[in-house]
Amino acid sequence: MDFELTDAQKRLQEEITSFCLDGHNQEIVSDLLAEGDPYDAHSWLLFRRMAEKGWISLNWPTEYGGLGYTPEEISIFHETMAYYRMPMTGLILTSLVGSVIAYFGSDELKAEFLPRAARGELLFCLLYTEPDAGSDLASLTTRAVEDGDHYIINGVKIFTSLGHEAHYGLLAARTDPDVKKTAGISLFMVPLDAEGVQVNPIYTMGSGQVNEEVFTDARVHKRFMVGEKNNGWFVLTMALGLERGSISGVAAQGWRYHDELLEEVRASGLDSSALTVQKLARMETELEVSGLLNSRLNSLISAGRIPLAEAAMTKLYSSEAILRMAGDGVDILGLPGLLELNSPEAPLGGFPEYLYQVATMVTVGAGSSEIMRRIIAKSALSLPV
Amino acid sequence: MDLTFDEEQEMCRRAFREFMEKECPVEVVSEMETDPRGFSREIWGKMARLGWLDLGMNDESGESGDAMTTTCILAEEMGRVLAPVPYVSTAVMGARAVAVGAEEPVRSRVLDSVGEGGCVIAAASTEGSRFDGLRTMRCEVRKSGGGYLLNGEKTFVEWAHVADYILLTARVNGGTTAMLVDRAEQGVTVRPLKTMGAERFARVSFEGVRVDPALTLGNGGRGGVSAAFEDAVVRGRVALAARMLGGCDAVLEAAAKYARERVQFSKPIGSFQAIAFRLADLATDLAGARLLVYKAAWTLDRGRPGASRLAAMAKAMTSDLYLKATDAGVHIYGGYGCMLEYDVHHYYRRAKAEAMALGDAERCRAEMFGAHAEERAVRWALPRQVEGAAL
Ligand SMILES: Cc1cc2nc3c(=O)[nH]c(=O)nc-3n(C[C@H](O)[C@H](O)[C@H](O)COP(=O)(O)OP(=O)(O)OC[C@H]3O[C@@H](n4cnc5c(N)ncnc54)[C@H](O)[C@@H]3O)c2cc1C
Repeated sequence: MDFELTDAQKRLQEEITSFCLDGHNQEIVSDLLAEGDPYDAHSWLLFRRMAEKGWISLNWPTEYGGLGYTPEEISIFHETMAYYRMPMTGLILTSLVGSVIAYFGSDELKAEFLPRAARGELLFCLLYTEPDAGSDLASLTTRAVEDGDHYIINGVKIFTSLGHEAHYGLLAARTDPDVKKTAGISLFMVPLDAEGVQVNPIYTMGSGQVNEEVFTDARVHKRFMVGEKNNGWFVLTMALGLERGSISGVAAQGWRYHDELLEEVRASGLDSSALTVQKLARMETELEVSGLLNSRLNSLISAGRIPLAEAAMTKLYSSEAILRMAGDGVDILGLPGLLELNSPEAPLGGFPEYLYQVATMVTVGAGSSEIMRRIIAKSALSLPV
Repeated sequence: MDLTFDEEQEMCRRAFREFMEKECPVEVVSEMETDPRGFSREIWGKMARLGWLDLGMNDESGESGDAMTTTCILAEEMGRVLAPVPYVSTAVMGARAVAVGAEEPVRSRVLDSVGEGGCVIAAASTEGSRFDGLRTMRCEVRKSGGGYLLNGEKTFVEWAHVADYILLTARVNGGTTAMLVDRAEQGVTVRPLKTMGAERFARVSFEGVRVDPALTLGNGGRGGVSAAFEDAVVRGRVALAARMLGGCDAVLEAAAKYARERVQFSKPIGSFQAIAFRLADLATDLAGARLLVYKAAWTLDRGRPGASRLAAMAKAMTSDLYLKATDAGVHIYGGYGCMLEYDVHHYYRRAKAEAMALGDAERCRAEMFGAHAEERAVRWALPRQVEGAAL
């Protein structure tokens, strides 16, 4: 066992920190903050700056711009960026879809998408969830029907993060309705400005936005299929695993919140009663443990394992921890903890009320806590749930 | 970072587990509950011969070994079977306090004796109703004639009735000092206390007990608190936390097995989410707690800063978890869980004392902002501290 970062990893952390603390980048982050959704919002300027560093493609194979980082180093990247509240959703989504293309896409598809995406010229989103298919994703009903060189898409996708900014979405659609649920799904890269695609906003708590996409006879060329026909479920399983892995950033957001809270308690002479101390200590413990679970996950991935249960544990533990600490933070601050983001008198710049709203979404997105518990019960405890 | 055990550590674990499962079946645990001595000299002797009683002591050379990590692996395996032996107080706390605080030749004499299984040490950390830090002790040493005499009382001292030495701290000249007291000294009275988990607790009073200068373990620590005893508490907490991990592991494993096999409503009860999810949460917390405990052990082994804070954190988390796990364990067994012929009650009854030993979860968390606040790891930013509890 070894709980320490290597020197190279420490240097990486420093490099990322100095990017985050760069004056221009800080200005962009302040502007996004002023608009009210600092984490999920998208800044093209910052996105391109991150692309210049090679960070969009950092986990792709090296021939497509990958930086050859280990899972641990990728986590360091996510955690450091999250600590400094860099908007990461666009990067995470684009990098994730890029990985899927790199591993499963045709050469033609790779050439078409990866270089431009790595340069920060393309933004991708995920078109999985449907009004009637959320946790039970395999029951999705969006159809893709072959028609010469094209597929014709009909159906509705919802809750798409950055669907309103993205150029392409990775769409999961049914290509064979006559086989068992998981056997007839295929994936496509769908241009969101194509004819027959309508993108409608859906607003979330915390001033955020997701989207609904309505597909009405939208035509997608066959070459945009990712992976083999009807093999989409397998690819999706991997993609969801990757997405849960990037949850490490979540805990790092928590460290920032915790640190600022501690500073506030001290500086304002606020109630530092026994109860407050208990809450702060519990927060810190849970953040420490979230980080350790994530590091263990990385160790296992580095060792070539596909740690399903461990990924679910990490996601479950850290998202639930953030949710608890968001509430505890407000309790510690009292009613001022409810003052809106950016309001002048708000402690911590109003972040508590924002985090309280977005934290609950973290326990739902990329597989809810119940779905994580099912995975753990099944694969770690062999329970027949 | 590499958060997996290496091959040697895995080998140790296998050896510990094999031994414990063979030597400490639940019948032995039950038998020892009513045995006058309360622990098996046979098991203790075998552990000594295998060299396991001085596992925690081999890091004096200054080079970084993994004594505490190995100690935790052993403690975990002991916790799984509830091994009835005075291991933590003797081989972890007692040995550590002596290693840090005693002078030669007493130092070698006591440590050798511990290693050979020839001596049992009871660690007296409590006066009154609970562990309350090391500064508030009322036991006192006073000069009298040519020597020093100890007066006062320690409560809930485990293994005092069979101990050769009692490790304790007492006030002296405004500070505190740690010492070993020979149980056979005049003026030492041991009165057993019967408790829920059949722990071998006793109230120990000291009336004008002669203090042997060779057995004092120095003070000179922070704020006049004995460094030897403080160090023993930190290591004791980590070992107890590891022992609780073992208990949690055993309960979780048994409850999951039972949930796969017990059928009600024509289905295994493990197919009901109310059962499965409770177990999934425990498995998750246990995985996290284990990493935390081994981080504390690693930090001690490497002599890195932050160890006592991590120890408090780990003890707090595992204390909470052990109570939660044993509660779930009994509950998932339903009525059978309450019956003495099923094993889970052993864990349930013992968890509370384990959780409270050397500071319950709340006390350990309070210390994170008091005694150990300055050890706060600086991740990125640097906030200052709030008030908490002293050790
Ligand atoms: C902020 C946000 C962003 C998102 N972004 C995207 C995106 O970019 N792309 C995308 O495709 N999707 C996205 N999602 C959708 C997300 O993946 C789904 O919301 C999630 O998978 C849950 O599906 P659902 O909302 O239909 O809830 P349901 O599946 O209807 O679940 C409702 C409740 O029932 C519980 N439940 C369901 N099944 C079980 C079961 N078997 N056992 C026990 N309990 C169960 C759930 O845990 C939940 O509490 C986003 C969601 C949010 C909140």
